[in-house]
Amino acid sequence: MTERVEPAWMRTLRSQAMERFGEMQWPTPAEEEWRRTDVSRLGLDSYAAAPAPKAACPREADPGTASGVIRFDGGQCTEVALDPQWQEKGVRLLPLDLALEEFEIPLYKLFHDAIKEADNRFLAWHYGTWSHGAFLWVPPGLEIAEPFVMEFAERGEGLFSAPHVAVVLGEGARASVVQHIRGDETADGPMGLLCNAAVDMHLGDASALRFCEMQELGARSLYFRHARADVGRDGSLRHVDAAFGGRLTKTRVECSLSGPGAEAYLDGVYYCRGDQHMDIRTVQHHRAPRGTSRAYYKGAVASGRTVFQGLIEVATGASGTDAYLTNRNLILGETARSDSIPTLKIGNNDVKCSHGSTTGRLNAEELFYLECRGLSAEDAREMLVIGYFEDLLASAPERYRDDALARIRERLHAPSAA
Amino acid sequence: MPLPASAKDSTPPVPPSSGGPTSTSWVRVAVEEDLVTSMSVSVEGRLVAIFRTEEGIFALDDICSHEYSRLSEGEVWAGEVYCQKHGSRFNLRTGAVTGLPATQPVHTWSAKIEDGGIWVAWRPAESK
Amino acid sequence: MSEQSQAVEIGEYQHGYHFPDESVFKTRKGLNEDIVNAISHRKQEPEWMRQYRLRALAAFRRKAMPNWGADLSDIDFDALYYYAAPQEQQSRRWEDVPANIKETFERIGIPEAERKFLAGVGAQYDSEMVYHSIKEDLSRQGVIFTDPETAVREHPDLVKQYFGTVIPYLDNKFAALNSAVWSGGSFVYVPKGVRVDVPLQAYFRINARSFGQFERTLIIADEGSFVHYIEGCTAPIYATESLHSAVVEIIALPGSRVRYTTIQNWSSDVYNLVTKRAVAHKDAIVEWVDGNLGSKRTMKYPSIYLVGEGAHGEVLSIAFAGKGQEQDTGGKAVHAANHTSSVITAKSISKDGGVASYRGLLKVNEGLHDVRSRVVCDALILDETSRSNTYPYMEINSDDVSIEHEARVSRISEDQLFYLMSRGMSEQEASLMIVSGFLDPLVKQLPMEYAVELNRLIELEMTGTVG
Repeated sequence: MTERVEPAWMRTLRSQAMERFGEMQWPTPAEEEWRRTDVSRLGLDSYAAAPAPKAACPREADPGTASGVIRFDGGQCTEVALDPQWQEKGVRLLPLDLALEEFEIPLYKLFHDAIKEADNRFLAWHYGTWSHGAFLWVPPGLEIAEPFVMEFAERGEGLFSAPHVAVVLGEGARASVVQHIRGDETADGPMGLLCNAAVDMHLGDASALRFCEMQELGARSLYFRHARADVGRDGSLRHVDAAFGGRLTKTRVECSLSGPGAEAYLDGVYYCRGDQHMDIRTVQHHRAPRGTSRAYYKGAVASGRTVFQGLIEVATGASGTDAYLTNRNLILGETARSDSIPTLKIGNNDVKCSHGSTTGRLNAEELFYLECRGLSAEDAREMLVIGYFEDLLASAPERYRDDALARIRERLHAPSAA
Repeated sequence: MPLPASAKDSTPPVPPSSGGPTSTSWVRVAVEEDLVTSMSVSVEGRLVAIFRTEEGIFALDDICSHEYSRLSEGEVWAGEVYCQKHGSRFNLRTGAVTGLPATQPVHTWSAKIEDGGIWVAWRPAESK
Repeated sequence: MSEQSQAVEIGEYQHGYHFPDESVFKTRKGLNEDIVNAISHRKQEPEWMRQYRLRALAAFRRKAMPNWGADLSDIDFDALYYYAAPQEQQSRRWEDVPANIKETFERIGIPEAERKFLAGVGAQYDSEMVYHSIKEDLSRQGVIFTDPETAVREHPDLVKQYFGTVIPYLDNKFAALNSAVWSGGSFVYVPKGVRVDVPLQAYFRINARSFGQFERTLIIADEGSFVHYIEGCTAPIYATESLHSAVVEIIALPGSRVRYTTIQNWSSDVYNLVTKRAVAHKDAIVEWVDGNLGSKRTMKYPSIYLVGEGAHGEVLSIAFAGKGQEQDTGGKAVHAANHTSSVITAKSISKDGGVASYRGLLKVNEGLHDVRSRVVCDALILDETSRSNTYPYMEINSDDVSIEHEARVSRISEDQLFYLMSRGMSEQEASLMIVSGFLDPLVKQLPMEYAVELNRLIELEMTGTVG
């Protein structure tokens, strides 16, 4: 690790994380969560650290229609922009390393808890080696409609990067974030980039956060991402996830409803083609009474393999829980493989919990109907597939929704990875 | 990474022919002395199990078609190999499934002993 | 018999198969080659079966305990007896049978004559009359219905062809155990085209080995035949040993149909770890109806491997987990052929701190066409301390499929309770009605006398009058 000008508390946390890293092994298929994703032949230990970014000296820019924008290229922060009206009211959108001093208290808690609870080596690795990241703070009571945009262009054949995002909302705050992780489609060599990302979200009581992520790494890259959210009393989280790139994606969204009346909606779309392997996990953890949660993930698999593992866990004290989990898989090709494992662990009886999963291909009758109306087979297929994903994306910010649907269209017309 | 897919069919071993990209050629995979009753070899990245019985030498895909497990570590009885993990059975000659829980056959290749070596009739399209 | 003379007995056996005749035979505690050999010899088995048992013993030692499922940490393999002749099991006195068991017999309405038998008391339950006439009908049709020991001796070709082909001894640790020390159970062969109209019931066959710990059942339904086999009973079985590890293999040849119904109500100290699997060939139908009421820990997942085109499989499972119990049950369907379908319906109730878990697998192989499956799991948790878990696994490797899975966990609806209570029912009566309604779709699938007994048993559990 190159030297950083970092506060001592962060250096200590990093070394705690690396200690845990040293105690653990890479996960093996003997562990339930990793049973269908074997990382042993990826040569994880041969990825080198990306060069450390220079101290952030970003260009101040105009946020445009967004409430704020922050951009990274190869780990280097290149642009930060924040709508002045929010700046005045105390909102902060910063590269993470610049936020460490002022926001020591919330960041210490987020990192410390994450490291303590880290249950696999990738998590420990991330918190020990995070190289760059974005931080958003919204003070209590502030309601901000336009999204904050965070863009990460990750690069480096044979390198690993560990971008971090931390969002902290004060009591009663409302905000929205759109995050985009891109790779370089053409530049990926045989190893690709190993991107080991994490997102930490803390929602104060009665706050509301909408967080939309999209991943489009290069075709040979590896993507590991853990998103953790803690939702307080009467808080509300809406998380939307879109997975498109990489030869291997292994992600987890874990939401803890820790205050009474909390609510969480975890939505996701994924499109798998070529020889991609996507393994996606959601966790709805109800720790307090009267929580509501929904997880709704839809995937399309043209070829390759997808695994969806969803868990609803209800602790003994979480009475009045209303939780639901749905996974739908649309099979678009003969060689596609799709696994779906929605699980329930329920320890309280005053609950309404259910889950559903369906897997199948496009409805032949519907296709036929459209073709009879003059659509070509390809267009009919596109119409049904877009229709399939549209309802889930309907409530996402327009730009995000359009981007996601555009990616899906591209992939429909190009069945193998570029 | 996804595990190697097992073959969908159990074509009987093809004798070697000459020329062409899909032709078969004999590949020396091991030293004969190293083979007692079974061993595992890697041919162009694919794991192959070699068995020696009274009836001869047999080469099959080393990965059981049921779950990831090595057939080369299994028991051999009466012309069949029993996968150690859950007992799935495969005919050594044809690769056909003869006992649950596997439900799909495994690939086979012709094998012979010559000049102190073990040779497998390899079809180039079968790597990976 | 004293430990010493037992040791002598075994010793004599080792030195040349000399064996005293017809005295009470009981092996030492624990398990090793001598005991397996003694069991095989006692049953007068051919050499190939003895070898099979020994290979299974080696596999049992090698295999690890499952690292998932119910908590099995209290099982001490070395402290168990692995074989006891029938006479041994009748050494209990009626006075020693716990009061709650006697009360249950009374309340469910078990005939007097059966009670002693079920409680392990008294010599014979004389159902010979009833059984005798059934036996005559069956043999006229060419149906073989006997115990597996007899089948090994009298029908070796059939046994060799099918035994261990559906559940190999390597399948899991408990299948290996059963394969080494199996004793009792049933062997059924139904010839081509024969419909067996009377359900075959294991417990009508007098011998107590039907309730032995390591039953081995093999059912072969030849082409176009039909048979319904029923195992167990709703009355609590007072077991002598705490580990029950049975293996049931079913082969449904083309066009046949087999229904296998189990109602299990082992006493509350039993570990019930069962491997049940069926192979359904072309156009065959296999139905598992599985009721799990008793035992301390049950792990059981009746499975169907659909290997022939047009085959259909169903699993209907009820689990009731009361105080101190963990029911870890479910079903598996593996689709290995085109035009196959499966339905798994599982209902569970947890009460008084019980834990009911559904665990299931739905797998569709690559390159298949027209595969349909529907899995529905419904769980009721009746109070705050009880738990319910659902672990369904769907592995879909073909595209021409239609797969649906749903699971729901809830408690008794306040609205329903309120409605029924406003009609004059007590809360207890209303709860009972709702729970019965919840289970009704599955109870309807049982033969009537079982349904009646099961309903009464649920009533007892719900009203808490039996401990």
